Amino acid sequence: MSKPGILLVDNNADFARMLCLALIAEGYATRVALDGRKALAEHRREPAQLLITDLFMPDMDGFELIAAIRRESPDVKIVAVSGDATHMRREYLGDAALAGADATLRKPFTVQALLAAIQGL
Amino acid sequence: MFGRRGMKLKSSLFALTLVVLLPMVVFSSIVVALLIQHDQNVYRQGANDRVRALMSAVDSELEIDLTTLQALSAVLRKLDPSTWSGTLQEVLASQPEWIALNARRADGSLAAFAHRLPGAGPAVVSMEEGFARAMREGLPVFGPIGQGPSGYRYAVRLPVVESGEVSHVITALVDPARMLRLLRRQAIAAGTVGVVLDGENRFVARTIDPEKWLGQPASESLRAALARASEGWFSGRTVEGLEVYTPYLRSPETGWAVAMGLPASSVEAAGWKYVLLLGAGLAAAIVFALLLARLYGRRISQPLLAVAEAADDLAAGRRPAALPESAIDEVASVARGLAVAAQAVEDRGDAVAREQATLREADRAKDVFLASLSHELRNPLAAITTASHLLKTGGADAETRLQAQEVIDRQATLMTRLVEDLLETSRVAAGKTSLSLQTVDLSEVARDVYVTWRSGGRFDDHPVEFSSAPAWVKADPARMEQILSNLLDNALKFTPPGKPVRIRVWQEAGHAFVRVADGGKGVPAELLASLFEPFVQGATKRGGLGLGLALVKQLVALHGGTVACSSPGPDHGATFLITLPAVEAVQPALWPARSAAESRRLRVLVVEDNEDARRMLSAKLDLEGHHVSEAADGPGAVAVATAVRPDAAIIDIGLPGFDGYELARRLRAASAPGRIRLIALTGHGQPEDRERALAAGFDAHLVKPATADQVGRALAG
Repeated sequence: MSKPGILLVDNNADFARMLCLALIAEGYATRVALDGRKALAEHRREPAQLLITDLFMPDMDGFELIAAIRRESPDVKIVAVSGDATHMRREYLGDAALAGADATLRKPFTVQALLAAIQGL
Repeated sequence: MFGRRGMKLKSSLFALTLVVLLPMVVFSSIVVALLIQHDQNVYRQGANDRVRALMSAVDSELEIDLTTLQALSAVLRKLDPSTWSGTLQEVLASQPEWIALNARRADGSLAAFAHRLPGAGPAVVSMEEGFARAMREGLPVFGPIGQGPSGYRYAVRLPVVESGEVSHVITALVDPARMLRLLRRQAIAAGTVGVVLDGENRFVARTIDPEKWLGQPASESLRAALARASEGWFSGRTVEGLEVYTPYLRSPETGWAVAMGLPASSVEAAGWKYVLLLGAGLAAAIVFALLLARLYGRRISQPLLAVAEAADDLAAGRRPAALPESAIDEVASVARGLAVAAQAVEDRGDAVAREQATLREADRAKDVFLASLSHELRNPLAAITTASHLLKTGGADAETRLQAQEVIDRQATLMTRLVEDLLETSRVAAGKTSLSLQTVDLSEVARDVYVTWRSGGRFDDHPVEFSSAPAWVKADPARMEQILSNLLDNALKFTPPGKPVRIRVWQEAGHAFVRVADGGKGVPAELLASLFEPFVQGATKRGGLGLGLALVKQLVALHGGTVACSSPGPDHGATFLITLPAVEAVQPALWPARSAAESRRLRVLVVEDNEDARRMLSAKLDLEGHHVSEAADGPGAVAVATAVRPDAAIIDIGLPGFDGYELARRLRAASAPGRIRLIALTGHGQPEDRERALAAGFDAHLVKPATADQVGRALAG
């Protein structure tokens, strides 16, 4: 099984760059977008097989992005990652799963945990 | 006045009224008793007067008869006794109430007589006693009543005295009807028995049943009374057995008596009238008191009961019903007091509710804060975790490892700042912050912040305008930087890329002002009030702890200033204005005047491969009015220099492509002598480094980090 092309979306540029490098080192073709709007544009330009997205970002947040990608490309696997704990008594990662994410991870997570999640898809 | 043992108010009022009535009753009774007595006295007096009048009327009737007889005797004395009978007949004819008339000699034989009845013989009327008395005493004799052939009559006798001896006795026999008529002429009330008695206490006339009792002896009680005294008042029975009060009088002249039997019932009725009146008045007073007690009791007790009920409601936590108006001031004031208390309870309830709402809001803000804190810490932690992963895996190249280290540095710094902000807010809130106050020009502080941020690339997405005039304040410069940074951070966070942010510092009318205006989505009106409270955040997806503005407010307050926010509406941005007390400017001499180079506009080329450092320097130079162009490596620098022909170049030594020495040589070679000023900016500060730089063609050699002042002087030459 060939490794899927990954689109990584996070407004924390440092985090996105580090994770991108780590994923590349693991053999994944990985691109980075810093917000939901750019990510959607990037995906339309060249569809990714796996989307790893943060939930809270300016200019189209993760929920909107997940919904849009799901609508356009039902086959794309999606992993939602967020630093949010329960916020206003809501479990946003749970919401993300409901919105269509295949897996969720709470920041901070180890690269191994992310890889395990990807392989588990 | 209110019973201690549950006595009804109505009963209390009634009892009160009775207590007031009691002395009145006693005094009224005394007055009534006196009145009755007085009335009876008056009545008795009246009766006595009437009895006296009756007596004198009876007496004068008898006297009239006597006077007629005296006149007759004077006539007879002049006449011959043989003609007397004719004279007597004439006189009798003139006296219609006389029945018979005679004259007797001293021996009792008839000298003459006249009789009203035709053919009647000389009357024989109880001659013996009356005649004998007239003869014996030589005085007129009245009565007694006796029965003759034509019925009852009484005699009036006049002895005729001649030469000291009684020669004759003239006697008139009078019909007692005369006395009855007289009696009837008197105004004697119906039911009252008026009687006329002769000297032997026999009835001569009587207003009731005169015929039956004529000549009969008077009642026992009257006779006994007459025996006791010739005048008086007694209570007894009439001959018929009627209960009467009787005033009576016996005439000393004629020996006759009169009496009036007043029925006891009518005498006592006068008293009873008062007693009845008093009783009726008293009863009316009591009924009135009862009614009043009931009415007033209700007027007092109903509002009181309502008040008591309202108080119960209040105690039970219910909202009391509206209280009735009371006409009684005290009750009304109790009701008012209760109404005020009810209002106070309600207000307090509202205040408690508001307080609870505030607490809930604070609790919510705390929840949001904790969630935000988690988010704000987890994000840099995620970056650090991933960077450390990259460092651990052996496969990473040097470039990747360097980036990872920088990321760890940066994100750790971010976290540190976050934690420091948190601690700072807590310290300032707890009043544990100390300021190191200096007299500073706020515009200079703001300029430094602006330059630092601009060089740090923070303004890449927004056109940021900066304008300033000196504004001197007594302030802690580090805190002022913090304040400005927070305001700028806030402005950038809420302003969409491309929209401007404007910073202005100035002084006016004793105040220093800093204004940061953004073109963002503005602050909703409902948020304006709580904007400066800790943990309060506008809707944003950029995160943050909601501490920035709270810290601004606290720090500005520590400096004796104020911060205000205004927002004209959604998407029209927000303006934050800080006002601080201005102070006297520090002597201008202490601050070096700007050098000629600083005031001169130069075209400056900055060559530096470290982006942060290059931007920082460019921003500083730009702010001083120079035209700045940038290059990141040797070949790029040569290209830019060819294009812009700079007046000066500030060059890092360690550059990709070829190094700073080589670049200096090439730039120097490409320009007219003295045309370009070359300044080396390097981390190496050894004397041999300096010599090497000067040898390569540099005009000045500066060691990192160089101050703005050093750069300025180097540019000026």
